[in-house]
This record gives sequence, structure tokens and C-alpha cells, in this order.
Amino acid sequence: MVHEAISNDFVKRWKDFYGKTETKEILKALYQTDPRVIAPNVLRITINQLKQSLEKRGFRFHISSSFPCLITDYEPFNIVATPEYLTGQFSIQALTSVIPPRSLNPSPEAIVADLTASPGIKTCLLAQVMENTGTIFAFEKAKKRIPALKANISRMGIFNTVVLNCDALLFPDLQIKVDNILLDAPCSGTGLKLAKNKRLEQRLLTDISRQSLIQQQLLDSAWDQLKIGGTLAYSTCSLEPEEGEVQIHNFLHRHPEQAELLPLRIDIGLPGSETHWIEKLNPMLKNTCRIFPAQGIDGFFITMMRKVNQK
Amino acid sequence: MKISALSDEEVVKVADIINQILSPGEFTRICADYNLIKLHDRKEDVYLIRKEDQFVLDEMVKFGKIHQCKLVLVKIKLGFFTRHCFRIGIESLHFLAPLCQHPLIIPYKQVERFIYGKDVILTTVDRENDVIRITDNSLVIIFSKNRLALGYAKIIKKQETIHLQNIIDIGLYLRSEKTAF
Repeated sequence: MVHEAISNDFVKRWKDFYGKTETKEILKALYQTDPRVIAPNVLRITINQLKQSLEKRGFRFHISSSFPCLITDYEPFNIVATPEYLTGQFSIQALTSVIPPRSLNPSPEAIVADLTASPGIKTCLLAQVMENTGTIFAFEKAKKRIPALKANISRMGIFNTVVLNCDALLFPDLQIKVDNILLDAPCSGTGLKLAKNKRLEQRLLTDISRQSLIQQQLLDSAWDQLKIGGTLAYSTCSLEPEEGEVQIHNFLHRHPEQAELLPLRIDIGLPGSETHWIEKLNPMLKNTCRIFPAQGIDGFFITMMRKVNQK
Repeated sequence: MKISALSDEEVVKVADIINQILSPGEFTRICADYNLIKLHDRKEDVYLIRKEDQFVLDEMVKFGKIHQCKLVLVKIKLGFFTRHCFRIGIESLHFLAPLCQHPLIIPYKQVERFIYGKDVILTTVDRENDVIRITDNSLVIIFSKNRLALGYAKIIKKQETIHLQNIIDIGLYLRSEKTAF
């Protein structure tokens, strides 16, 4: 059934890149439906207080071992109908959404750019890490996605965000240098579970080259706006190396001696040093992280880069 | 995209509304640290922006003019002007709720009613609430018993009952399909 949903072109690629055994595990995982994950808004409530408050309403959770999130075991009714959700005490998200803001870890009072902000879950997480201080510039190109972004920001009580409805490629014209950039780039989404990614059935190989070109343009334009010493977190929910390891390898080639890849403190996934890409590509890729789809988690790729030099 | 400061008359209109919720002098204290600005679009949205962030705003204006792109949110939104009247926005709730002078707490069953957009009637004077000190026909913030801010209402005191006329509530986030998660 899974093979019918995903084209054979992708399955063949994954076998070439990751091997037959890993591809079998990926396909099995993509078919799974994961339980709902919620993350507390740490500006308002702690994870234990949230758990207690929702359990009084009949919900049941366990705390994730890898991230500060609650995994739903039982939902008597839709959790968004609770006052806790409506008053912004938590957000509903994927487990992997927690990784980029926490890895970036901007300091309070920093100036940060979130280049593909909608629906605002990662923007709100960034604001929580910054203790609702400083400034976040949230870019969103699609007008129809703006209401959800604004609603999530106001619902969660976030007061440090400026939202712009424009293409993030125009960011250099803003003439403001930032301390940190979050680029959760638009991608082919081949790492997302089928239950929440119906578009995977329609994906073509040409989507990979199209998306990787957009990612390249976003990376290059964002990099110019980063201060020396600033950090950029690049992530995608794709299994394709052109949108992950190869993208970063090419970026480092275009910007020689300007970036260093920082080690990531993540307990899950495969560090770049353990993939075969490290033999073929830039040795700095040892500090990237690739997560394969598994029980409870989508496929993901992330890297953190620090700007050490200007061109 | 046009941003402007509020005129004195407009500041008075905003203060008249906000001062019904806050303790005396609180809004003046806020205005010492923040500027009040208006973002011109279909409505005129009113925002609070810290004085040290003024440079951010100036860059936004220049950027918007070059690229015809839209600034849709600037940190803290208080509300908007429509037909020269100031209306409070749900976006201001989390900012103003901690500063609320007379929080009005409603029972659990009335919470559901309120966040469904309905008015609430309190049949007896709730001892948790300091209703005597709240001016009739003024704006109040409604809270649940566990101190979650639920929205804004207008308090109308009658002989034996207190009528809370729903102005805006957090249920709005679900009622609009565009903003539901």
C-alpha cells in the first residue's frame, strides 16, 4: 500500500542513498499515524502544570524522552476546544519542530529572522527561547497563510514579533543585520508521514531540483544579512540529500571560509559523521544531523552554521 | 503601507478605553516606555512599540515602500480604529490581563458560554469579584477560576444580576476557519 502512495522513483533513490534495509524501515514508518504532540508555552506554564491541567479534563499523556513535549495517549475530545489551548498555554506541533528554535537558541534581546514563518509554531518557540524580548522578523510569502500566523502569535501572547507578508528573498533590502536566522526551508517534504502529507503522492523528481534551487536562493540571500558571529539554522523535512547534505556542501563551496558548522546537541537521529556523505562531501558535514522517519517522528535534516567571515 | 503616530485626540480615545481596565496612571506609565502607532490598511490598527524599536519601524516603512509588501503585525496590537472609534482587539488580552485592576472571574459553566461568544449573566454577586468598585457600563477582562484570561466584556449592573456583554473572546481563534490550527 505504501509503495502505491510513493512513486518508485523515490523508493529507488532511497535504496541507492540509504540502503535496502533503511529504505524498508522508512517506508514502514511513513505509513504510521503518530499521536498528537503538544508543547507547553513556557512563558505561561510548565510542562507538569499543563499535564495536570489537561488530565483533569480527561486527557492522558506521557512526556517525550527526547524533547520537552507531551505525547497524547488519550483524547476524550479535540484538544483545541480546551481553554488551555485557546489561552495559548500550548501549541500542537511535530516533535521535530522543537529542534530548530532550540538549536538556534537566540539570546534575549537578539534580532532574529524567521524566513518561512507560517503557521508560526517555530516563531512562537523562538519567542519563548528569547523570553518574549528582542525582535523576530517573521516572513511569510503566501497571503492565505497570514491569518493562521497572526492568530498563533496573538493566542500564545507573543509580543516581540513583526510579521511581513513578503518573499523572504527580499530580506536583504530590509537593511537590518540580524543575530540569528531560522530557515526551515520549503522542501519536497518526503520525510513527512503520509497521514499529514497527502502531497507526497503527487511528488515528482523535478520537485527536488525546483525546491533545492529555492533553498539555495534563500540561503544565499539570508547569509548576507547575518552579522559576523551570528548563527543560521537550516532545516528541511526531506529525505533527499539535494535538500540536505548536498545543499549545505554546495553552500560551503559558494561561501569559502565564511561558515563553520556547529555541533548539534540532539539525542536522536544520525550525526553527519556516521553517514556515508562525509566521505564524499565537505568534512564539516559531520556536524549535521539526519533523522529518519520512525515511530512518533518525521524525517528531518538540520544544520547550524556560524558566520565567521564576510566575503 | 503607511505608519503614523496617533493624534492627541486618538490617544485620548485609546486611553478612555484602556483606562477602564487598568489602574489609574498605568496607561501613562506604559506610554512612557512605548510609542502608540497606527498601521493604515482597511482598518487602522493601533500598536504599542517600544521607543528603542523605532529604528526597526523606520526600516519597515522604507522596505514596504520599495517592495509594496505588507506589514501585518508589529509586536503588540491594542486594537483598531473604525469610524473614528477605538475598538479593543483580542490581541491585547495577554498584554493587558496581568495589569487588570479588577479581574472578573466567572464560574466554569459560564466559561463555556462566554468563549462561545455569548453574554453571561451572574445571578448573585460573586464574592470573588470586586464588582462594587467596577464602574457600570465599563470594559472588563473576564477570567476563569484558574485565572485564564478569556476575553473582554462590558459590565451592566442590574438590581440582582450582573450582565456581562461579550465584546470579544478567545473562542474567536476557533470560530474563524482561517485562524483555527
